[in-house]
Amino acid sequence: MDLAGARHDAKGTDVNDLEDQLTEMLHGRAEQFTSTDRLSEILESPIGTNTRSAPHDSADLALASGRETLNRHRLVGPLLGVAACLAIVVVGLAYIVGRDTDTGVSQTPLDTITLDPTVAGPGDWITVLGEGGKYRWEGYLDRVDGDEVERLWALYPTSSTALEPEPPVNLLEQPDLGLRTAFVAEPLNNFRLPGSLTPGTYRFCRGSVAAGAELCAPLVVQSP
Amino acid sequence: MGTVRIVPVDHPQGDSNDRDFAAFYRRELDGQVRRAALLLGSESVANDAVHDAFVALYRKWGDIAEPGPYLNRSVLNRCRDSGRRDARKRNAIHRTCGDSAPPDHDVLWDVLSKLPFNQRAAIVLRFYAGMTESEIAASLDCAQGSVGPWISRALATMRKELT
Repeated sequence: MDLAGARHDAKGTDVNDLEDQLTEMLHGRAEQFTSTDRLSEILESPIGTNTRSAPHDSADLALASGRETLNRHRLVGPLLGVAACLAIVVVGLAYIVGRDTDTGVSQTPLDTITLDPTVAGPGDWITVLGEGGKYRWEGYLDRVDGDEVERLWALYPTSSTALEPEPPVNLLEQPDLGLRTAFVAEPLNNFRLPGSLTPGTYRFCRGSVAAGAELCAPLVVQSP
Repeated sequence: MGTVRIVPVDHPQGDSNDRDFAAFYRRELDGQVRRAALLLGSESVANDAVHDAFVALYRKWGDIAEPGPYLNRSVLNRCRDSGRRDARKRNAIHRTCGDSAPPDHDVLWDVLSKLPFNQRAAIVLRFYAGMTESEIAASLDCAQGSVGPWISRALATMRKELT
């Protein structure tokens, strides 16, 4: 059937005519295809082999030689898919963890916090007892003078083995300090007091500067 | 004294199974290859797909209650996979060898070849194999309600392409 004939027929005929044409065309086309008897190969071949025909011409030979390459390439897609899924899971977890730490909430919230020591000097380490975990949280230092509270320092926890702990930030110099969060893989509950801290009565608060305090504990800073 | 019969020790049922399988193979081969070739557009690829399905069936021969429907599904699945994987290869063979090239240009065939696999398969199974919608659904492993719309959409597309 040629193009013009088919179009002419389809224009002027109904559904049944198209179905009749299809039936006729499919049966005519099918008659052109012949099967290859490979029964003996099936019955005699060991389990695991197939009965695929050998490459029969130059084009097939070239394509057959590339079949293994194509097979390897076919693995790339699924592997990339698995890697992408894993990456999404990891990023999702990091996002959830990051969101929690943004609000200054660790995974193990405490009713109270206790400092050790409660009396320290400028530049000394203090430890928040019972705190820690893999999730970073911030703290800050308020100077307390009677009813007046002045927020002075943002502190960032670090491990006791860190060679260069993240320095505290003077909030008088950087009043617009935003949230700083990070995901780390070791317990963090040590803070280093600023070396320029003046003696007096302070309170150490657990929480971010921006989000406000969750829990505070008194701290007395003495002269070194 | 009676006669002595020699009975195979390893696979006493093997010959019988092979005979049954061979009969089934001879009965199904031509139809399956032609049906697959109509879907794939290539005689050699169709022969490969069908024989891969026969090999898989032979391994399970005796465990499958209805080998006919099983073979239908198996061949169609291989046609679907082959269509996805080897489109480039078939095109190359088609261009280079004329393996599947029809002797005369047929616009219906061209339009059919461009249909999505499920629609194409539904058309071939309906109008070539003469299957009912339930038989087509079983062969394509899909809901029976899907078959009618596939055929309708395919016919509508073909009609649109032809006008």
